[in-house]
Amino acid sequence: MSDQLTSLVTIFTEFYYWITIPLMFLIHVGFCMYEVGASRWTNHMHTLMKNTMLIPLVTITFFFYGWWIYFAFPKFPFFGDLVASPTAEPWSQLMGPHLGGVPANSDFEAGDTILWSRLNGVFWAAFLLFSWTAASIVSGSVIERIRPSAFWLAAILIGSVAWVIDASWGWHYDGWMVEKLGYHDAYASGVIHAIAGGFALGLLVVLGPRIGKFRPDGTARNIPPQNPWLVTLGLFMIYVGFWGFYVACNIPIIDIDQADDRVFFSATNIYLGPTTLSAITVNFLMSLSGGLLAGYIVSRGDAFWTYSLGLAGIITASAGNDMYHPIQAMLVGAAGAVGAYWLHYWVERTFKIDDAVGAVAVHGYAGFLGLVISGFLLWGFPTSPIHAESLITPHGQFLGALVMFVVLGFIPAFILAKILDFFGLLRIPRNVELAGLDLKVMQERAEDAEELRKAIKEEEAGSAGSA
Amino acid sequence: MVLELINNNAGIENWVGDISEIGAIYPFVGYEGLMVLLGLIFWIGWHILQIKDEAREWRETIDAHAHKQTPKPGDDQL
Repeated sequence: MSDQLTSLVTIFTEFYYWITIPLMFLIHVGFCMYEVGASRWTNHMHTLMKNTMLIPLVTITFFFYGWWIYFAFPKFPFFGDLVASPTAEPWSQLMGPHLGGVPANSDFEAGDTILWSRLNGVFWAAFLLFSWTAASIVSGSVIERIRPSAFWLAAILIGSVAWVIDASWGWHYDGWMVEKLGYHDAYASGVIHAIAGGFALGLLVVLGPRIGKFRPDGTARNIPPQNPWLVTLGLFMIYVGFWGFYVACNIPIIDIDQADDRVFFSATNIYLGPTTLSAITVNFLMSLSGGLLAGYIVSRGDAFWTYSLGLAGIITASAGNDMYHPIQAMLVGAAGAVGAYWLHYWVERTFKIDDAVGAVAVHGYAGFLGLVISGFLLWGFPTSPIHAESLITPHGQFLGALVMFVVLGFIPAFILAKILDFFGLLRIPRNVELAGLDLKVMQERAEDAEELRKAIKEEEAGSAGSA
Repeated sequence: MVLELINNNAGIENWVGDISEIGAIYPFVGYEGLMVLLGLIFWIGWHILQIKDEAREWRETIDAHAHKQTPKPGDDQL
């Protein structure tokens, strides 16, 4: 890069995405704290490891094929063929350290090589952190009874396949949902949250509730979080990470003027539509506030639900938070929080679904509602400058929400769970669930501690004798 | 022979000259397909080992539950 301004823009963009990655890492820290806090003490270690180990598994599978899916699938299989994606194939030289000097292969122009050698890794990592989030959302709902091996296969399915297909279809400037449905989901109400909620529900239907969750008459027992303060701290951490998530959904600086003889540099959303960090920052906080205020009222001040519904507030408003007025963002957030809370208990009562942390509600129902609401509030707005004729509509957003929640969320999870259940690989053995997943480790630790206590007593007795 | 092969596969030999001509710099440029294959084997192998180990763990947990006392909170603290 010999031109200083081009270099500055390129390296700024590289740095911009890099900053989002450790911020989004905090989402995962938060989810781990939240899940461990929600689980009973006999399951803490397995709960933690279940969520932790999705990190390497989704990471390597996203390297092998997830990144390629995003670029290859915008029109596939309904409206076109796979798109050649030479930057994203796992064997591409641009997936490794590369200084941009020589075109990586014959499909690639020299200018593209210069740009992608700098940006491919940070783009890949930013998308990967979305993948972790999608899988981690699912993790909390199935605690204390799913086999870790089964969960990790599910995590790979949503983190490196299902959500990436939905991103390619509906979160790509040239995706068929954007073009045909006018689908607009700027900060991922659907492409991360609705799909993850639907996916969790698909697993839960087959997995069944934790032992003891429902009384003989079918009413639900409350299984309180073991450590509510760890839960709330985890949710605070997720809020922090969500800032990085929002920023990573934007492109920081690009010429957006469609005319050939003019230029206008701006930040854009994922659809290359102009936006500003100021706008989304205010709307993030206002929708969080709407969710917290409504959540406090409907849950009567319960900390677990108030925090969760603050998150639901952001998730509900996220589809349109690039264009909403802040008051609209607040009210949309409040509506989503109330809807998610009500739906959680209605589904629990009606279908006996044990969603241990309310993930289906906070992410799935709130994300779904957010897409539908945005269809009305943004009715007639252009979804992307690339497809000027594609306008946001209620029916386009509703169909988009169904694709996310049902087609790419619920159905793949349900099928996977059925297959695993058929082979006896879905749920942990009943005796292990009754004993606690960590029983053996706890016994070993207790024996170690007892042995050490005896050794210390013997030392003390020996010292007293010699004195 | 292996050492010789490794020694001849440095991605770059020096930083002198036109840096804008430098492309991929990792070892074994040109063997990316093989590296992906090794990665896939590592990934699938991990799942096989983990699933086997998990089955053993459940058997041991059920056995421990039947024959040993369940610890109480604090039993592992000094």
